[in-house]
Amino acid sequence: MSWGVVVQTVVTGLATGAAYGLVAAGFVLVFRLTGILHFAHGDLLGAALFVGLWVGGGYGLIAGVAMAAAAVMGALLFAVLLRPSFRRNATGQWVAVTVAAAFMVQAAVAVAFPRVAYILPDVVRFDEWAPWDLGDGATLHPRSLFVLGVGVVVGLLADAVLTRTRFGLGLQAVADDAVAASLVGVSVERLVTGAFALAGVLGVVAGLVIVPATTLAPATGLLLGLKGIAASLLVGLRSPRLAFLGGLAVGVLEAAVVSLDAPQWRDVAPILAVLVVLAWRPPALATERVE
Amino acid sequence: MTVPAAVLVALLAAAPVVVGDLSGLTTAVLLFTAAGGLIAPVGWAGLPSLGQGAFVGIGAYAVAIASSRWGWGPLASVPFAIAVAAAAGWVTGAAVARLRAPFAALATWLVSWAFALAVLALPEWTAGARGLVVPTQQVELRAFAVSVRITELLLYDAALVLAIVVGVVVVRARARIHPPMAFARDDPAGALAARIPVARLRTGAMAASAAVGGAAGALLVMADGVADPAAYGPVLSLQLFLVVVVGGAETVVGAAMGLAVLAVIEPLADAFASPAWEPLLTGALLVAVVAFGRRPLWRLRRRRFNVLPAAWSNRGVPLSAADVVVDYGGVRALDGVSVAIGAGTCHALVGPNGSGKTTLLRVLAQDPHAARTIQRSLTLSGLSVFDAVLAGREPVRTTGVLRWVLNTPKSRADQAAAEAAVANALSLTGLPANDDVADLHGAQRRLLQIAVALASEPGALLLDEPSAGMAPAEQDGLRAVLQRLRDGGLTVVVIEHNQRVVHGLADDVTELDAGRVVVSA
Repeated sequence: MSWGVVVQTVVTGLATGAAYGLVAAGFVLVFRLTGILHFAHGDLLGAALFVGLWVGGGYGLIAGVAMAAAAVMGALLFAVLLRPSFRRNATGQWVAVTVAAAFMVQAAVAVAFPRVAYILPDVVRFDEWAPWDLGDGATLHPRSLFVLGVGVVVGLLADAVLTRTRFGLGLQAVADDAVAASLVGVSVERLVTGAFALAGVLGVVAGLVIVPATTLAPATGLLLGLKGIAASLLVGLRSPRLAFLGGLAVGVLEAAVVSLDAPQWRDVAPILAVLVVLAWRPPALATERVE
Repeated sequence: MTVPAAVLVALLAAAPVVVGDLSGLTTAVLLFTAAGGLIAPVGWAGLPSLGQGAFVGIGAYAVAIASSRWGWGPLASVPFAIAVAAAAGWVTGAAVARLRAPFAALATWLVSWAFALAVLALPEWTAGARGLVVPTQQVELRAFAVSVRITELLLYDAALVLAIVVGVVVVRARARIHPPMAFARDDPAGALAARIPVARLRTGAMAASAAVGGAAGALLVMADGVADPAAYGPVLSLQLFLVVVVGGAETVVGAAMGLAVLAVIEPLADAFASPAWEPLLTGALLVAVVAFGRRPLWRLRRRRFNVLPAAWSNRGVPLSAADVVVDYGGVRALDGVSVAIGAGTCHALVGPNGSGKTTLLRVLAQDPHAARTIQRSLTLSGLSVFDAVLAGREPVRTTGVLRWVLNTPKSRADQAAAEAAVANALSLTGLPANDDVADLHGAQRRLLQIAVALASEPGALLLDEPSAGMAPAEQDGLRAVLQRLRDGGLTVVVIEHNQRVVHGLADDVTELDAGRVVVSA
């Protein structure tokens, strides 16, 4: 494999990986706060993109509407549907609720958008830009650098929100010890609702930057969510920051699978990688001693 | 119970005469069967499996591939499908056995997606999204020179037989395997201390449920005539999971009720919404049912036990440790400790916090005849006292669930011995057999651990601060229990600061400090 192909693989991988990283960061944020694995994360962000498309208009309007929709849907999911099982710590119940909600959202999208796929407009017309030639048939599209840049910047912004704002510090307190936080007057459920909203916004940003390169299909959000979950598990769900790095790794893995001429395994490979990790070396947070 | 079940079976067997939609009936029976397979892993073992759809799919595709590509008949392809699904379930079970419940859900969910995506990624085997057509099935009985065409009615009958077999096995297996599984579900660490093989129970539950799913899938694909990738995988996994969650995951009746709820919701949505909106309304109703349902429709009813204790005889074993060194990541917990504990004596371990008492107890507990308790109370909730103590018998059981289902003489003898041991343990500790564990008060919960340990008829009982949290009168009760055990010949090692409990009872005392023996007398 030539260096050109390696560079192409790594850079395009990092770019999609940055998007996965944002999705993963939201997933880990929610998990650290509540212990809930947000199975509907991907479907909600996909649905939010469709809401943006439904309202229409220019890129800015679509993006704004989609972000708002993701925030509202995420918040409602927790505040209305998950709160009963969260309060009673009923694992089977919240698993059922999040997964069923994911399918409900999919069904809603299928009703409103019956076509196989839709075009999501781009922030600039990247398709008119010529890709750079790296030699040996390898190319690099400027879009990759844009996606990577947006991913890193938004990731840093989210990190700043989590570490420097009052909201973020409250979230940290809840993640460390929810009971202690509530005893000193932190409003746990309100903050968690906010975290679900923030996770939705991060996911939608990821969708907004990478979906225009292909098309928006009903399964787009779901696949993004699965990659985000894969990335989160690869780093043991330790922190949103690490989850972002996990996303980069998943992106590169996927690009490598495509470069190795097995594009049909593109979506399966990260899932299998995670299953192997879970079976072989499960993260400490995920395990209990049984032997 | 037998009469209603027989009536139900007769009704189901006659159903094709009344209901025109035979394939719909077959599908319903097979869905019930696949959901019934989830009772052990989800209800008893507490693994929220979202992988059953994949196992059904594996069974379906195994039959489709074997019959369409290799020309196998159903007598070969169905067992093949069950074996493949069981193997996949065993691997999945081994992988998720050590995960906490939410992660078991996640891992099995990913298995569902991996299956669905792999079917699409391997079109040369699975025919991809088009679906793999299954040829008409024929059973050739060469010895009798007959060939039987598998008709819709025959498939329905096969599905019914499968459902009945699964239902009977589940109901029957419960008495044997539910107590240790539920113990391990509610308190994995406590189960480990009681030497219950948590990982093996969970792996077995997953493998068995996958085998059931595979069998259902094998029949399902024959009924459909085509292996359609959209029919299996994540959506089916969720449906089957919802069936048991809504209805009550611990019982067959619960699974049937869950299926009934789902069967009602869909026509309901159908009646109120146009075809395009129907899946959305169905989804919304389902979400509402699971999000706001406070409890499952049908819960496990406790068996009542009235087993009389037999004569109690103990043969205490001596325990010893020589020059033991234990490190916890740089901290030396035991630094060359030697103790020798005589058979049938009571030995007290004392010393300040962090001096290595619990570590020494763990070392001594490696003796195969020793049973130990832990410092905190068990967090069991859905078990009767009798069943919780019965679970403590698990490490010395000589027969498993297979023989129990087949009701072999060996299995019956093993069960009788187990129940007698439980009765003894309960009479020694004075616990009420038929109370719910959750209703015990603090001191009783401490005694429960002793009873759980006694159920395995150990030669030595190792107790870690058994009187913690007890009022003086309760401490006297504990002391009386320990006295009875020691006088009965059992070796008792007890970590205890409380002189009220051990003074005059302990034959020997070992004092530890900073991982070394200070005094041994």
